[in-house]
Amino acid sequence: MPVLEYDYAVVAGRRSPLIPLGLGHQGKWQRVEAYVDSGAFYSVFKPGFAPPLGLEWQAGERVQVQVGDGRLIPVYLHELDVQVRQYRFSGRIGFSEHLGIRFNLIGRIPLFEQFVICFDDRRGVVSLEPHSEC
Amino acid sequence: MVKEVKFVEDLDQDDAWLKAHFEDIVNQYEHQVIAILDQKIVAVASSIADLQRILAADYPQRIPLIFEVPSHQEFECLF
Repeated sequence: MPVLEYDYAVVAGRRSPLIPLGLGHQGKWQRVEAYVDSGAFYSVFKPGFAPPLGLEWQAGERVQVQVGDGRLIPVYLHELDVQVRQYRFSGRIGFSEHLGIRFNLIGRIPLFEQFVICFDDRRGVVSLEPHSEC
Repeated sequence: MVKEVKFVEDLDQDDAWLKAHFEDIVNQYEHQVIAILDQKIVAVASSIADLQRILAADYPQRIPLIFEVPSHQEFECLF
């Protein structure tokens, strides 16, 4: 399976690994940008993306997630379809209104379960290689 | 399990357009939510929910790329 490459987004020389992806549920889809965060166990998106997917975001499995300032925030997990370029897979995606940043975060669950990911800061490129057994 | 499936919209062209204009978009739209479709900004709102209402009315058959625009400071303060 081919490796995917995405240019970083650049602001004032600061490079950030943003990638476009589709979030889907029962045939409904949203297209969003997400920050690839290798330090995040869960993926956390803004609740505003849930209603168009037919989801009641607070009906998901509630977990507590510790964020950078030490607070524990509630995150509600749902099993969603995720599309990255031509690749589609299912995984748990969280929604929270308490993340405190404007980025959606795509973390180890589910992205790093499905891809080997390389951050090439010198080139400003993040690459995703599907696991060979997938 | 990953499978290969064609998506209903092109996932890459609007992303490439966003990144090519990123600095200008952050300067012009910080703290707003934008929708990009066919390499154009087609809607701007102050919240994702407001933007979704606009898109449902104006582009019911399409799936624009949605991006909540951070400020310069938010980029610089990422750890």
